Parts: sequence; structure tokens; C-alpha cells
Amino acid sequence: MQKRNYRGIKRNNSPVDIVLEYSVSQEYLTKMLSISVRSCSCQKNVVNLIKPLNQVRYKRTKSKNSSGITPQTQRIITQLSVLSARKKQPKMLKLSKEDLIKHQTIQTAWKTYQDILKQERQESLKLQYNKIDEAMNVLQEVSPKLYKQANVDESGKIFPMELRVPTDFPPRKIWYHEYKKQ
Amino acid sequence: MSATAKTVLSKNVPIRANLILSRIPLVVPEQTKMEKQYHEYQNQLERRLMWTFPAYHYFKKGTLSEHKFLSVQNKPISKVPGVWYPKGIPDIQHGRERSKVQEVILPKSETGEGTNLTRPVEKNSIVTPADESGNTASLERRLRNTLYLLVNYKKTGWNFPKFEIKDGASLDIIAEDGLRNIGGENMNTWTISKKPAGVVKNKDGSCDFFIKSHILAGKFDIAKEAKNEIKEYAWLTKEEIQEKLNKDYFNETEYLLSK
Repeated sequence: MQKRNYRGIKRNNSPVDIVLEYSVSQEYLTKMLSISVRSCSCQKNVVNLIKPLNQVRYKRTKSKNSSGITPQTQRIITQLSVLSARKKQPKMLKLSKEDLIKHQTIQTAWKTYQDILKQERQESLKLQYNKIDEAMNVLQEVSPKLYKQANVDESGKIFPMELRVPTDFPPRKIWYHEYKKQ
Repeated sequence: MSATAKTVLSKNVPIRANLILSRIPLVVPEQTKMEKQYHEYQNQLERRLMWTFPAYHYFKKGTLSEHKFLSVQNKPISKVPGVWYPKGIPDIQHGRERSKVQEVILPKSETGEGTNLTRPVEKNSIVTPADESGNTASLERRLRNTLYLLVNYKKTGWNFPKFEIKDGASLDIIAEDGLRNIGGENMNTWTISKKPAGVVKNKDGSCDFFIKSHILAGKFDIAKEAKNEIKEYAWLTKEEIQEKLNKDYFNETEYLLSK
């Protein structure tokens, strides 16, 4: 006969099972046990003898410190550290007096240059506006009908999508010649 | 408007719509020496003040890609006790010398061709075949400049395309339709406004109004019907237009043109 432990797995480890393997009847076994218990001075030893050996110790794979951090948590920590300035900021730039004056001169020169460009642009735009104004006045004089057609509200007119923004270098196909009227 | 000009104009003067058709620059204007130097200076400053590249975020620790990346980086000088450093004691964080620009080098593939990221950028030439052959009828010339369409009339010589007014049509429609009559239908243009950008009052009392427009696609080809009227056409920059037009006329229309 076979005896099963509480998990339903066949027990082979304990001497009791070995005895059972030899198909010794239960009555005989209990008799034997009762004799041995009586004969033994300590009942505990017998209990230990019956209990299966099921605890095994393996080598430690995790250190005591990192045992609390899962890979997911570690990933979040890395991602946050990417955004943080800690340990990533360069040393402060300390310019000598001479370098500081040089830097300020460069910035002033650039600002002056930009002001000149801006002024040129403003003047050009002003001239163009005045010329439009003049043209419209002349048109009103010579042809009120054309003036009426030209002088309509065009607010909301937008640049077409096909108008290309200038780039540093030309595209592979420079111009779309094959356009056909739709 | 001055009072004298008002008296000169009458309601029955001949009116023409002129079209200033432009091809905008395809390439940005060349930087001046000052602009180049300033941008270089600012670029270096920005790189010096940039945070250290967090390589540990992009390359997982212990992987082959991490090893490949780290092996091509320039290693900074490390701090050793008892050594005198003339350029300051090294201060290294995350493999970067904090007082210097960090140069991040991307590893090339084993074949040497490089990946999508590391392959060298092929830059197309700004000088086109049309520039070399001096073909002024091509739209693919002088990519840095704005080009304007000029036509050579058999009677009057080089000028902007001119169109007589028709009944019931506005100036911009006259100009756009006229352009298609002389240059064919296969052009995509965008008129900036219905309002004329300028006017030239001629000595004979006629008025030339200017309408501005951009060409977006397609090409100008002299139509069969217009061939007895127009000899040739050209796409020219402002400087080249100055040579073609007579001096007074150019001075009056100069403000309409950009470089």
C-alpha cells in the first residue's frame, strides 16, 4: 500500500515510507511505532524522523540593498535622472575681464547689425505701403470700377501650401516642371 | 496725391495691368562673414554650457551597443593624486570633463558605411547646370535669388508682361489670364493681392499698374498665338533686370523687386 502526504505527492524520503514500500501492513506498523515510542526516552526524535526534508538553501542572487527595487522602479529612476540637472551641469563659465569685454563687444556689434537690417526692412516696407496707397489713389481717379473691384477685404487669405520655404541646400528635384492645369 | 496730378488724370486714359511674376529663392541667402563668425561663436558657447549627454539612458548597462558607444568616445584625463594639472584639476561626471565641451561621437557600423544616423549628408550643389550654361529661360537658376519674369516684346523690347484691360475683369484677373494667354496653361501661380502694388504714369497719359504674383509650379512657355508678339522670355534677378530695362523705368519699379 501507498501513503501520500498532504500535497498528494508520494513520499519516499522518510524511513516510514521505505517500510511502507515493503508492503508491511498498517497494523504492524502502528504496533512497531507504539513500541518504539514507548521504548524511546524522547518522543520528539520520532516526530523528526517522520517529518520530510523539504527545505533547500540556494546561493543568494540578490544583494540585501537592491532587493526592494524592481526593474520597473529602476527604469523610472533612470528616466527621472535624465531630466534632472544633478551631476549633468557643466562648470560655471567664468570669464576674465578681458574675455568679458570681448563678449560684450561681440553682442553689441551683433545687435547693431540686426538694427541696421531691421531699419532697412522697415524702410522698404514703408515705401511699398506708400506705393500701394498711391496706386490705389490713381486707380480711383482713372477707373472707379476697377478700384471697386480691387478694394475688397482680403483678410484671411493664406499662403498656399505649395510655396516652398527656402532651405540651406536645394532639393534633389529643383523645380516641378510637369504641372498640368487641373 | 497732389492737386496737380489730379488734374492730369482723366477717366479715359489707357490702363494696363503689368504682372510681376516671381520665383522665390529656393536656398537661403549666403551668410556674411560676420554672421558666420557670430553663429560659430554662439554655437561653441551653447555646447560648452550644455548638460552632459545621459548615455546610460540610451544604452542599457552591459549591452553590446553600450560597449560600442563607449569605445568610440574620447576619454577625458582622470584625476590622479599627487599629479599637477596645468589646465586645472579634472572634474569628471558621467565620463565628461565638466569644464569642457562634450563631444558625443556616434559609432559607425562595421562595414564602414554608417547607419541612417551616421552616414554623411550629401549636399546638392547650389550652382545648377542652368547657371553654368547661362540659360536665362530656366527656372532652375540663381537659387539664392528671387527671379522675375521678363518678356522681350518685338515692338518695345524687354519688359514685364503687360496686358490691356478688358471689360468687367479686375486687374489681378486680367494679369493672370493674360499670363496664361502668352505663356500656356500649365502654370500654378498665386496672386498676392487684388490691389496693385504700384503704378507708373507714362508721358502719353497711360497708366501701368503692377500686380504681384508667385509661380509655384509648372513652366512658362511662349504660346503659339503670342509668338508673333513676343520674341523671348527670361527669368532674371534684380541686378540683371537693371541691365535689361531702361534706367528711368527701372528706378520707378525698383522698390517692387527684392534681391
